[in-house]
Amino acid sequence: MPQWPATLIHDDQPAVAPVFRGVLGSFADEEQLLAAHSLANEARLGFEVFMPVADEELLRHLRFRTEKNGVRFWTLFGAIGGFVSAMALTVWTQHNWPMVVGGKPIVSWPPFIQPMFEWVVLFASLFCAGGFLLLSGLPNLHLHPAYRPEFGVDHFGMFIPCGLSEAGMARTILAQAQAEAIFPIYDHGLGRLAEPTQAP
Amino acid sequence: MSLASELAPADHDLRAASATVLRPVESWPGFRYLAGTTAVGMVAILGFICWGWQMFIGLGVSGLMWPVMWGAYITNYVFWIAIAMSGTFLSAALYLFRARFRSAFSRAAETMTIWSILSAGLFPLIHLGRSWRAYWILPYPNQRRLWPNFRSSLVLDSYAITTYLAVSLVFWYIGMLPDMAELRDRAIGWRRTLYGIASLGWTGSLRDTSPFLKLYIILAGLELALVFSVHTTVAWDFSTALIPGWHEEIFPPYFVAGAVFSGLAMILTLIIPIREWFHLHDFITVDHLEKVCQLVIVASSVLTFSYATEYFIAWYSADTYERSAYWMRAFGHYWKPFWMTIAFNCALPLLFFWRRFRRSIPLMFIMSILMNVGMWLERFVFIVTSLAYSFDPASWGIYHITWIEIGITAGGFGGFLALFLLSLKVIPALPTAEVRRDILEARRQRQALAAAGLWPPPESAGGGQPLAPPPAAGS
Repeated sequence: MPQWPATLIHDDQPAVAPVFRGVLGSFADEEQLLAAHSLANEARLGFEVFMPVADEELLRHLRFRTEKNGVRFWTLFGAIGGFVSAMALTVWTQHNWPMVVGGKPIVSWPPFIQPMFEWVVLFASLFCAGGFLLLSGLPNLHLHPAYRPEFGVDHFGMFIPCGLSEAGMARTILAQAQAEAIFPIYDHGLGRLAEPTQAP
Repeated sequence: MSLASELAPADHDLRAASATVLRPVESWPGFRYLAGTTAVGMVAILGFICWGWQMFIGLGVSGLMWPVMWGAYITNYVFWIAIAMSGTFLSAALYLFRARFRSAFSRAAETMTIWSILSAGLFPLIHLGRSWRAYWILPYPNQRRLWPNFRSSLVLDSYAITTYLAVSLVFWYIGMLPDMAELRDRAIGWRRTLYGIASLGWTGSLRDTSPFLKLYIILAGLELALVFSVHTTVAWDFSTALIPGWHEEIFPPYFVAGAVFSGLAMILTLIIPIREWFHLHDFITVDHLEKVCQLVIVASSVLTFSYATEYFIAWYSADTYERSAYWMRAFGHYWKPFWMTIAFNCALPLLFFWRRFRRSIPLMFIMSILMNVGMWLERFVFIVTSLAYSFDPASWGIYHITWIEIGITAGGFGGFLALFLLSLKVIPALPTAEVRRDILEARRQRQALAAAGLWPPPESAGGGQPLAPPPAAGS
């Protein structure tokens, strides 16, 4: 296993003074994560969750509705764009280079529907993927400062971004939810991570 | 008990499961993998040598001669397009239907799609003879007197296939992001950088996961629509021609049914060796393979119905040429491949009605290879016999496949298999994130059963201990 810190950036720039960003709890069980989620909500604290699985049921428990994001609108824009582009391509091309085949009209709509359909799907898919990248902030070579490799395997993480004044409350919440480990998160900027300590 | 619990053992450790799935990517290949990849790679080289010989001597080394100008190469093209279609179709459809057993073969199916599209794309170039002049057929306007004709099914086919390749690549790649991130976290050195770039910085945060799930379900839906259009358009290549045996309205759905059947057979052919070579017995279980066999029965039934409908329509149309074409298909020069098609595609899959065949890995593997052979022969029979026995007996002619064509066909299979196996050294053979999700799902179900007093089950089959009465309402 690679050594912490989990960053892809290995430059020789001198490290700047670390800035405290918040508190991270690591959970071995999703039940503990859901308990932390309830407590953080009650305390009106913001949080970010890391999960080893992309699971709709877990998102639903976290009251995070996948329906409410903009990916579907990007898809719709792509589909409309693809339809209009394919229509323009076929009609414009046939008008500029008219070729009569089998006595059919220059603009023969029934066969033109096929490229229109293909481009609707093509543009919708590409815009959908583009919308996903935009909404999720990917690609991002600088990993989130609170991300730890075990969150990609068998642990759940909850990062509560806060100042030093709220750190105690955040720690208490994570401890109450039986976090396996609690870490203060310092950030050197651009994903350069400080060595985590065991307790704040 | 539900499907997820049957297929994903709840007592699997998540970390150990990941390590098992990722081991083939991270470790040196075993002897069997190396031997298999080398063998299919050699066959691919043989195919390239044959292709080079054909380009050097000319298309005369193939058996293509009037009236049969579409032979083994176009057969290969249709065969590989069908494999490509079915790979993503199965992955996307089973995702939309929430079939949990898809995780055992979804990655293999999607990878199979990518390499089979590329294999399919080679065959029209090989069929040209002078492959180095392939760019002459690109329909950019007003050059070499080739004007774009959007009424031609061949032009429409090129749109369908390039779109399908692009969308399948997106679907394949996006689905791999969590796996790439895990490989990044486990890797060191240049591999860490490589997987870091490939994972795009995925961390599994809410910000990543929520749009990811939405994207994935939308892409699955779009793919499903696309696969129907792709094989429908391939079917138009034939059905818009006036040749008896080709000019049929049933071709589009019939092609789709055939593609699903051949794809399932190919998935069995691919994942059974992978399961053995990569020691994935815990994640590709006999239960998973049995589900694929059950799907094979369904697909084969639809295909058999399509064959029967073709013959019924030929008889019912009372068209002399149509009846003649179908009679000659079954009893003419090509009767052997025709009856092999019927035997392998219609009769052989019926054995899967017996549980013994559905749960025997060697039998399943042999049957899957024979079904692949049957599907290749099916395309060969309908392409070649229709041209060989068209309208006027004076214009009939027999096509004989040559060794060069057999070599190139084998090379197509070898190249596909070599690329498929090599890619599994770079990407995981199973979607690890989905394997973990299945394990978590099975744990949840077990917890629910335990909460209801239904877990653990009795040691012997049948009923367990009597349950305690439920607490009274309000207590």
